[in-house]
Amino acid sequence: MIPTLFRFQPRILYFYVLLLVSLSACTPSTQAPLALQAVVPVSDLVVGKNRLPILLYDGETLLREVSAVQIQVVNLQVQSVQAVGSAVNAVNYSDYAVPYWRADVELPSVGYWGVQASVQLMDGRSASAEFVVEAKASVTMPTVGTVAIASDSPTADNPTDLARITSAYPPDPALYQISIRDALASGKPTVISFATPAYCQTSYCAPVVESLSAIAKAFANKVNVIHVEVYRDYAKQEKSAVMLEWGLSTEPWTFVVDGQGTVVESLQGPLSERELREILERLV
Amino acid sequence: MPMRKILSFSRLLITFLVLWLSASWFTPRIFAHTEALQTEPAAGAVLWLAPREVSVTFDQPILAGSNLRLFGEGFKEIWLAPYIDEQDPRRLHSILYPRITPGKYTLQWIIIAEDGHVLTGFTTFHVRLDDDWLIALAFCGLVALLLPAKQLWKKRTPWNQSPAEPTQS
Repeated sequence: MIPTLFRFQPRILYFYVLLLVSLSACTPSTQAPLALQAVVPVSDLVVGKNRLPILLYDGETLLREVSAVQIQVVNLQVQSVQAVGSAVNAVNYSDYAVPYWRADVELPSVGYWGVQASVQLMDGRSASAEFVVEAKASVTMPTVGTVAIASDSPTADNPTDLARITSAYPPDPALYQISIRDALASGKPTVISFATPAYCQTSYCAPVVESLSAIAKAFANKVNVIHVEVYRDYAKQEKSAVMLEWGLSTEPWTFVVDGQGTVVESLQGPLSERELREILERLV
Repeated sequence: MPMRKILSFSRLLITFLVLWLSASWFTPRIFAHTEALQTEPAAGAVLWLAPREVSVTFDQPILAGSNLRLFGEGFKEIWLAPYIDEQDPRRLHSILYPRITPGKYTLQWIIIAEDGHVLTGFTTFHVRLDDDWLIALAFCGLVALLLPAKQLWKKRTPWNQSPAEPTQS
């Protein structure tokens, strides 16, 4: 009885073939889709223009072969989803340890906004994703257009004092020559970065201080470059007095201040030397 | 090899091991930013059937207030009730009920790490078939199995067999 039941029968085979054909007709393309995963390392977005850095991964692997990234903000506060303005082409900063894409997005009002990210790979594959960001009414740190806080950040010029005020190893003395207060009074553009090289071990935040060192060398005597350590006592998770004064609870943060002491760029997360250079070239 | 040389070599080895162990014990192995280690469904997964659960596992424990959001195409948000796993505080997960329909989905996480850092990220996956398809497939499979059985039943039961033709002499 059993062998007869499973005996080859053309009619049954025909049925299975028909089933498979109809199933494959209903399924998407056979090309392996991109395992798109992304990190958006920003938490304090405000109403108005915001810098949105995006790190892209294919599964767990960092995506480097990307030809274009387009960002479109959509309004979720209406019945049917509506695009806000036109799509923005993100700029790639592959000179950073972890290549990232910067998109400048406009968030019109307080609340949640949808973001559609379209990613085009060099091999022709593409993927898109939808996620939300929150535009806050206010944030605690200085924003673009506000006056920078004249803090008495610590300075040092010998190895013993440097080791006391920064976790960078080896520290670059060029980043600790002038306090924020004196830098703002100098009339020159100033870059102030809050980062913790020793304790921020992920590849997308620690290299910010390396970008600072390169900029300090390239813009010597034209721009003040200052690094402020995040923690006063890491074991107790006590933040430095300047961090608290600037209203920062996360890191890394970099502020670019013009010669008049006004914040012209407020940059959270990764920051490549090229991105910082492009900003400063507009100021000097 | 002289005994003295062997002893000095072992002493050196022990000293090295002790130093290495103490260095690795006291070096702070703390990461200031939390990263997603694993997502379920996996990034870019193409699933035949809708998942029953979504989850993200991070490299560090996360705090209450961390959130998961799931979006279908056109920002159609799927209701989730995310919670941190009691057994593994690095894992944030949510059941998916009712089951989601076929399409592309983006799973977004907005988490608060132990050091207070807020981090967001997202991953995508596809679902090919819904529950109706599953029922249809099960039905087709059942029919495919029963068809030969019916034929067999017809063939073997004597009362179904047609009477033999009378032979002409």
